[in-house]
Amino acid sequence: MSKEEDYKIIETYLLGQLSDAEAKAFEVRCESDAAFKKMFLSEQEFFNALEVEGNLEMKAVLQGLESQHQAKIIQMNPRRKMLRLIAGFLFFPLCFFLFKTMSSPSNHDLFSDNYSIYPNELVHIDRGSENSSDLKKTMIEYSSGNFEEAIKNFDLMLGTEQKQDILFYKAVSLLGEGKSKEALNTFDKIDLNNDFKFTEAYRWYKALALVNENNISGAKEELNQIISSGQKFRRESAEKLLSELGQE
Amino acid sequence: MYFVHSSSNTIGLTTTTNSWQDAFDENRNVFVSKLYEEQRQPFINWARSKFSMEDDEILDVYQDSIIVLYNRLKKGDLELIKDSLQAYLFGICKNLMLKKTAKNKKIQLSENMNDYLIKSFDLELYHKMDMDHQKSIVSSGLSQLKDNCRRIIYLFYYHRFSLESIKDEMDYSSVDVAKSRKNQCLNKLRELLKSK
Repeated sequence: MSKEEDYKIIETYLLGQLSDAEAKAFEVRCESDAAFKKMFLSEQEFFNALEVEGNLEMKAVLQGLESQHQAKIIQMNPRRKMLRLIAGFLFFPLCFFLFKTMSSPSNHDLFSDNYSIYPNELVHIDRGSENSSDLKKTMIEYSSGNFEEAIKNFDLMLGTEQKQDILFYKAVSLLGEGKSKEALNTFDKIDLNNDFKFTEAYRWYKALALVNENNISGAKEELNQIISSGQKFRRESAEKLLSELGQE
Repeated sequence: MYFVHSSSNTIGLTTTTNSWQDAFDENRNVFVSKLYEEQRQPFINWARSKFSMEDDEILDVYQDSIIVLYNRLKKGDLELIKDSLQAYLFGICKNLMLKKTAKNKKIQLSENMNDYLIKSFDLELYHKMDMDHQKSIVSSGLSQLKDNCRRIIYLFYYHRFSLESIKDEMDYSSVDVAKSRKNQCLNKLRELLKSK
């Protein structure tokens, strides 16, 4: 068997896709072929590490769901809802005018409906680790939705050097705090041509910031770029948001 | 992984039939979102009554339990899910609570938890979250991959998507293209790891 075939069968075994008989034969070979066994153990370690990475990614996603849940609770505060109803009833004609010319509540709703934190892809968050780096501590704050603290730390890290990835996460945190104007200023500091890894995510969050600032044409431009880029990331969401904005 | 908002339909977690399995197969993102929302409050209420824990610790365990459950479902390994999926999820939660309790003496049990020991759960998938060895190297390699490449690696090796599903998910023209892209990304990752 060639090395490539060996890798293939090891992968199939680790993915649990061999039949019982094939798996048995595989294990027998592992016991009798030292070089093959070494290759298998190395691959197994690699698979385990990917599993850990995936678990951490899942954790960040679930923390994002929790943040969304908390945000919904704040939005659904009955007192606030009642005040909004009364205000809408009493001042509807005036509000309609303001809606079109100044601040549009529906755009804020669109922003809230679509915002969720971008998963932490900068650093491992080791469970129970005591010797955490500043970045690690900051990303824990970020993943937990403690944006105020995360932003302070990002600012310290940025210092005089404008690190692209940190700027991106700072901007997403600012959005989490509802500071879309400051988020836009931060997005503008990011150089997309400079080997930047989060281009589609950048466009998505910038579009959300623009929606929240009622800059609909700017938001549509960013969303169209996501759709035309051919990437899958947030494309369906971009199309949906674009159609909702089209009704504005 | 991108999660969409859940609709109001439930996913049949409390039934003993596997109706939830269709929901999982149809769209895992929606499934996990719904599962998280549907079971969140029942779990918090249950945990508050059994353990002296802060809510953020309860939620931490709840999220870890969903990860353990997801890892089992993605492998199609369902033989241990004899009762409802909800019962299985809560079983995992109980075990993780006990694990956390053993780790942290400050957390007091409010009742004898021996009854809740469920021996048949394999929590090694969860324990892997504590594994420290090669992961930082792999993490660093993954972070250097382009977004799409990283996504394919996660979809194939972590989420256990078939090449057919990856083709649909990533909008590739054929399964062969998906396979070729997967291999290219894996080779790229291996190259990055070799250089470390």
